[in-house]
Amino acid sequence: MNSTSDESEILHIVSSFEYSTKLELLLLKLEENGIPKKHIVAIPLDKKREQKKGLFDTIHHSDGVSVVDLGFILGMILMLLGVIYGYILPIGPIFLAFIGLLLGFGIGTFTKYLYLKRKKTNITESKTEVILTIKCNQANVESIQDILWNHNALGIGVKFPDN
Amino acid sequence: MKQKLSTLNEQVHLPQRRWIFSSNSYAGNVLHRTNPWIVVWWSMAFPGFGHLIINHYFWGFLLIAFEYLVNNLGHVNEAIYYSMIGEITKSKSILHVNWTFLYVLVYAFSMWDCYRRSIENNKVYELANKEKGYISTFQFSPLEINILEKKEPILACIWSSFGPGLGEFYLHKLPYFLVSLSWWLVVIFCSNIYEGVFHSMVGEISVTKDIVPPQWILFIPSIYCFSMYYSYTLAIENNKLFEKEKAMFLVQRYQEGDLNELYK
Repeated sequence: MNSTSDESEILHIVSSFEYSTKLELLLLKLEENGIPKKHIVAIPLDKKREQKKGLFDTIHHSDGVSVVDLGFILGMILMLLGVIYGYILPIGPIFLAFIGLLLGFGIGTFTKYLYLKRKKTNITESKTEVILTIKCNQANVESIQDILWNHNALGIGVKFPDN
Repeated sequence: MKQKLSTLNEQVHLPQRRWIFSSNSYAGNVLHRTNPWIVVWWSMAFPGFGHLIINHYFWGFLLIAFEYLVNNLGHVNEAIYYSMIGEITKSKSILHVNWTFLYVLVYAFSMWDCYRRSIENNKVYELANKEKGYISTFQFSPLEINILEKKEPILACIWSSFGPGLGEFYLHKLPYFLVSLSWWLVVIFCSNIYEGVFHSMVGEISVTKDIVPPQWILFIPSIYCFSMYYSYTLAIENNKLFEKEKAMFLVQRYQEGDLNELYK
């Protein structure tokens, strides 16, 4: 099918995706279905504003790990104390260690979360990661939409030509 | 000035100088930013763990072996235990001076060393990340296949909490898994940890106290927490790399069409 045959029948489909290997399968399938590569434009989105912080700032939020690091540090310390004092307390080393771990992890993660929130760091990231625009013929809109939905599109929009 | 620099680069055709991902079919190593103090903390918890976070697997394995051997020879954990419950004299009598001296020296060295390496890695990461070089997504050998794929950080963390090393199995780190599994087996049999858990759960806490030696069980908090933290971190770095690779691929392959032309 030649999508440039009739100007009035041409339309654009815009859809959004997460990064995934399925997205590559989708692009391959679209090409197999006769959409020329030039009519597909994929725009990867930055999920956060690029950080312009000093390299050795104590916390690199961009690493994503920093929400839990304090949790595991406190978890480990309290677990260790739990083991040691469990020997001389009636509750025993195993249970006290487990309680220590949960308590430490809870306190640490909660504290870190509040801290990040106060610093107004964007902890949650947007789900949309790629915008895909496809130029195609009115005749195969349905089938393309089907393919898009089957490959985990987050959303699909169609711009029909003005009549 | 910018223009000039870029034309200069084109003329010289510099090869790719640094990259953020190295892999073969058995494992991958992702260069990423780290907070030097967090790295030092894990090195304090267990010498060698700090080095694992900053991509130095071999040094990490050596230091881990050192920690297990020399800590046990010097009875360091036992001494910590007796000091903490207030029996200082017992603690003094149980320490072996030779081994404890060696232990302290290497312990301090490994903290300093991984702090230094962490900072060097961060600098190199900034440069390597800007180069936007080729990221290999697929490694295939007669024995294994390693595919760069999204992983679930929480899942990796949960598996590691069931058994240290399982999260790394999920993340396809074969050497790390083998090393951590072997040491974990040693720890299980020397510390009687599972038997201790069993007796605690059926209410025989005094039995647990008798059969679980403090020298060995004091290793377990750091092993457990590090393993969970580490697999969580690795999964996140793996995902960030995956997204970076996909974005680069999409820009290179699917931006041939001109939007002005398409939307005319």
